[in-house]
Amino acid sequence: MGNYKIVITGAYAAGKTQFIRSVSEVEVIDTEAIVTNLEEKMIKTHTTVGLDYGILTIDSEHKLFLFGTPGQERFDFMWEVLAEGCLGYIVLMDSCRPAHFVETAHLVQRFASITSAPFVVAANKQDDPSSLPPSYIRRRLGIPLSIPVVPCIASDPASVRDVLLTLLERVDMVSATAE
Amino acid sequence: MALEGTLNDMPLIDLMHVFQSGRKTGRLLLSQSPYKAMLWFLDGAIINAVVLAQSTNAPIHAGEEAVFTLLHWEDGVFKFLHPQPPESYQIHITHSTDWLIIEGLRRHEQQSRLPACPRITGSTALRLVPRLAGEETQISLTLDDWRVLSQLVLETTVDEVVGAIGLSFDQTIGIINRLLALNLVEIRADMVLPEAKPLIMLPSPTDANKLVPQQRMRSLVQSIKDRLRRVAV
Repeated sequence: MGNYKIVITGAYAAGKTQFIRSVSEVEVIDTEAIVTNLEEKMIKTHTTVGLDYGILTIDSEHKLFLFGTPGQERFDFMWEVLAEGCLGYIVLMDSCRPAHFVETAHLVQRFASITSAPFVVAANKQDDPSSLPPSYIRRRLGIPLSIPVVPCIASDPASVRDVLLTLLERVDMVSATAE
Repeated sequence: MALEGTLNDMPLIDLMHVFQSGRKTGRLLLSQSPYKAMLWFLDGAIINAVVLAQSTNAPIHAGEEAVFTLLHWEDGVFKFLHPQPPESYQIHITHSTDWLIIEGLRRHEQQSRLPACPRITGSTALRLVPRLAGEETQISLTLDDWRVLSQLVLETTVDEVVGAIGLSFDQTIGIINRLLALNLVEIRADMVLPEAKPLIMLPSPTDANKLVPQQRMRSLVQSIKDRLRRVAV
């Protein structure tokens, strides 16, 4: 029985738990804590501490685990544990919150220093008419053109599936290059 | 949910460009004590603007003058609201977004022209901004603007542009600032991703995920892709 994992990361309240919930076969298991940061408290009162994950059965012998990273930086010691051995990871960015650019850019840097696994950036909340376009998000985060920045609606299973497929295309491409 | 943030996070020039290319309609509310302001967008174009005193609602600037004032706000907060069905719009500004930006910048000293732009040096790498197909523009460029633009077909540094077109460094910087404000050119600032530190991998029979051989990886990825395509939507 082989278990594989993809990590979903992003700034606070980027939609990570919702993203996993959209495609998981099981009810997402999340462990939430009371938000301590006053500013973040205005957005939501509980945040993911760790072990926020969903499961997708690939076949009788393999399962894919989707892990969401903790939402607040005080839990970032968990990132290394979660990133170890992942197939790839997705950086989720709320397209309606330019205030998240700095934190998300920091997070991209931090993850790249933890793991060399391939990643894509998903511009969440693209169903909101005022959302920023992925091209602008790419520019502000300084993401190279070789890394996909894809539109995403975390509450829509089809959209989440497309983001995961884009990541897998990239995993495929990177492993083909490595051969 | 609406687009909201601070002008530190996203300068007004960026908001104007994003709304223009996305052909947005709605109201942009801004506040920077002791003032508040509103910009009306119709199909991406700015059609009206007003700056008011926060405490009394007394108008301070209206129309184009309000836009020029707002271009120099640096630390206000903003929120973009979509139109409610019965809402109607009156057009008081007919100039294009690009004209408003250039005119607003022209009215200030060279040094304060581009508050949101990073400092440009000779080694700054520039490139053309990819424009969406069908995106309309009413920009008029001078011959010197075109000379600079023609150098940026390939990514080029400011020093290389100066060397190629024969203008002085200051003149070239002036043209580049204008092209940056028009969103025709951008400073290349792609993130340089750090190398991941090597992990010490201990083989574990219970954790196949840690040791996926290259040859197995591609068939595994294919299996996951097949499974994902069956996700109920």
